[in-house]
Amino acid sequence: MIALAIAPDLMEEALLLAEPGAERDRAAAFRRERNAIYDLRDPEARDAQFHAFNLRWFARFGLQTRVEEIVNERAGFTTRLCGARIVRAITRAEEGADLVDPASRAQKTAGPLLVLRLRPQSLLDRGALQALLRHELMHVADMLDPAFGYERALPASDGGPSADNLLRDRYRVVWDATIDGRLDRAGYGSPAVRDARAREFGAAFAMLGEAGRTSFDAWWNEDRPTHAAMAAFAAGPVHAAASRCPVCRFPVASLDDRVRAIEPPVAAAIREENPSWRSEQGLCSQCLDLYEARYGTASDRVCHY
Amino acid sequence: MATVKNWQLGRDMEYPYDARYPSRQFAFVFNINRCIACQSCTMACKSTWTFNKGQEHMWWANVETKPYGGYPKWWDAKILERLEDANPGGQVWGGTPADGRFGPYGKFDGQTIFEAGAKTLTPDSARVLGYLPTDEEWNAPNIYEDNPVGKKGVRNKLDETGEQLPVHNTWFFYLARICNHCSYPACLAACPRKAIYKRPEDGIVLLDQSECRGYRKCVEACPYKKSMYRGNTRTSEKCIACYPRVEGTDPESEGIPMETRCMSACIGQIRMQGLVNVAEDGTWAEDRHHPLYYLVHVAKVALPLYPQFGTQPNGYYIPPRWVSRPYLRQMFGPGVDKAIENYVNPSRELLAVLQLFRRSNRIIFKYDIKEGPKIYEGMLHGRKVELYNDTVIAFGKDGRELFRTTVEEPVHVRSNAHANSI
Amino acid sequence: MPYDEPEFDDPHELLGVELPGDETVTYDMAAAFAEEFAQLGYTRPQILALFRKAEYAGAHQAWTLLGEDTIARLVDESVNVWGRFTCVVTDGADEAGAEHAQPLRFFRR
Repeated sequence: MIALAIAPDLMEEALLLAEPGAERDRAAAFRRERNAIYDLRDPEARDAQFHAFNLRWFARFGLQTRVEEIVNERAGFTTRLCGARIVRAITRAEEGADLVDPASRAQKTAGPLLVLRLRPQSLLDRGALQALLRHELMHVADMLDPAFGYERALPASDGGPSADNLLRDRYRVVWDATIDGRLDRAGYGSPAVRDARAREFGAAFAMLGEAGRTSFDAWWNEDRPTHAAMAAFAAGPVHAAASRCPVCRFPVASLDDRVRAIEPPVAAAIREENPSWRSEQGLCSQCLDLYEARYGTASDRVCHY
Repeated sequence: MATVKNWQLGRDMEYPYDARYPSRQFAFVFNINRCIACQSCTMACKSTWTFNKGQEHMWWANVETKPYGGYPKWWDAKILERLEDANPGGQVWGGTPADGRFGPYGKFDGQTIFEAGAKTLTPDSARVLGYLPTDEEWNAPNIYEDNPVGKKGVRNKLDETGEQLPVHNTWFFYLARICNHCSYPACLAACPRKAIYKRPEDGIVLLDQSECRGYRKCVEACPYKKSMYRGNTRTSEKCIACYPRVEGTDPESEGIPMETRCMSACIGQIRMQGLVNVAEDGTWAEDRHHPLYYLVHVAKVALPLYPQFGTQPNGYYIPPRWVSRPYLRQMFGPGVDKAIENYVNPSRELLAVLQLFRRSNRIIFKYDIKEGPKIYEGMLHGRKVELYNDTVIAFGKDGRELFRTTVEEPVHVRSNAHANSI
Repeated sequence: MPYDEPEFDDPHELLGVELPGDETVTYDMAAAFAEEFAQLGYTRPQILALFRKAEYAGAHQAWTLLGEDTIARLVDESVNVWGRFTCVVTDGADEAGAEHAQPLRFFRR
């Protein structure tokens, strides 16, 4: 068992969001008890009471157990950590797990600190929380596993920042596929997750064409992925493809398939502005979207709320 | 639910409390055509009322770039969407605009947030259709819009040439907002503690901090999202309309009613705030020479913001003349076309009243015009312009003259063809 | 929006959607700003400075899109009408019954 320190602001916000969904009597008791603390005049005493109240009700609403159960499924690696902390995330994109070095020298020998970032509303939905935390904790387990060989930075590509972004994105897609594949085999998966990962993989490695499906299956079924293998796979196709959109000249992962069904006025508009362009050359999704919006049959749509 | 009269909607409407009207109502007109989003109002408010710990996310006054921005993010899109879900296809205006002060924009045939709430919400959960914005949505007053941020990866430094600014290749405009001190406040209706009240003397809506227990029902209910929760005091707070200034009890006001900080700070001179007389039925009492009455009910150039929400907001806007009409009609109701027509071809009186904006920080209760001779006639941007040497005089609460504005003798304008004309 | 990855649940992600608007709309906006600020008593260089400064994104975009010449013409037209007049504001007397104060502030030149 690892002790979880939950940030007070996260705890309080989660409770306020949980209260309207609680059964009537319980919600009324929550409010009665909470309202009484407002009568305390001394701000420090009041804050202390609110904190104690939050701890009590975080447990009473079952939120403490909910998080602990999921984290302790990973009993295998928690001994390598000096502690675990959950802090408040503002956006969905910020949510996740990370390992940080503890601030004090004494703690450094006890291993890194696990920091989980969660939005308050994520604590309320048990199913979604399980899915999110299991996935994130698998990342952490890999990072702590010497056999995985995790390194913080990926090798720099020579294609500039946009190529670096592509590489990082592809690496993430591969890693996510192996994680959800392993979770699936452990009985925590769902066909929807597999489909979503397959789509994501297909988009990130569109240059592989049909072979992409086989590659995805291989990564999905990989039980012992390593950082080095995933980084190499992610980097490989970058050089193979190295394509640029013939219209905007930005490097892109893949050109858009929809160009085959492009409307004649849209194609004509592209040719007018890019005389050397031929539809067989294709173009990127952004350019296609732009020209379809301007010159396609749907371009006269007025967009307001 | 009681039945109350909503003059902006031209019909009776359901509201959780019986109608009770103040003798005077805090109201304001913002001329969007002049707003350049300098954010002086925003900062004037911030530096006066919300600079303390726990108020970091709070902007009682803000200016957002429409149609992209919003504070909190997507506030209007979200509430419009909820109303549309509650009453699909039914959120429309009908009827014909009335000549009088009741129903000047026709009749709203859709559902207000109170009516939609009564139909779609279970009685216990809320009395008003609304939503609680997330942390992320409160996170910035105008995120990604017009903020001259530095280059990506460079912190604490603005971009020197501004070329990192986002570019909108279409119409957009700046919408300055504060609490509308509504006649039928949604925040007041939703508060389970009755901690929110409307002052009988000026209609300012205040939230009693000692009564608030942080239920946040007001935050959820206010369709304009101008009630905000403060984490460290665990109470909600909102714009107080700088009431000591409006009362004349602020030391700076020397006993004379003064406009709020956000109004006074406006360098674009887009703002005028005042107190209008309210009739027994809740409409504005006839007050022909009150500048706000004139702009809203006579010239009909200033319109309420999202009147269809049903709170009868007391903030009025002269709509931007270059913006897509369907969008403006959705935001300000069907009075938009007439408002723009009247503003673009201003009457002699309207030109005079527009001269009253920001000439003084005292609240104007009445104006008078002394007519003078015609001094110019010409064309500008395809329209005929006539100017008169009129004097417009502004009077304060006690009937004393605050100031007068006169157009003086023509001055010679050098041709720009001269090299030294800049 | 322009700085980071798109968020697909963001209703304002405008991928592939355009709002109606073109140079005419920008021209109308620029004309409105020129006229409004000329009415406020700003001078030609002051109004032009507003358009030239990147911080005032609305006005500046119009300047970028339409060019200095067009903007200068709009400003000249507006100043030619509204800049002809001096608008004098005289504060009322502080005490009831007292004489008018002298004009205190000049808004237009």
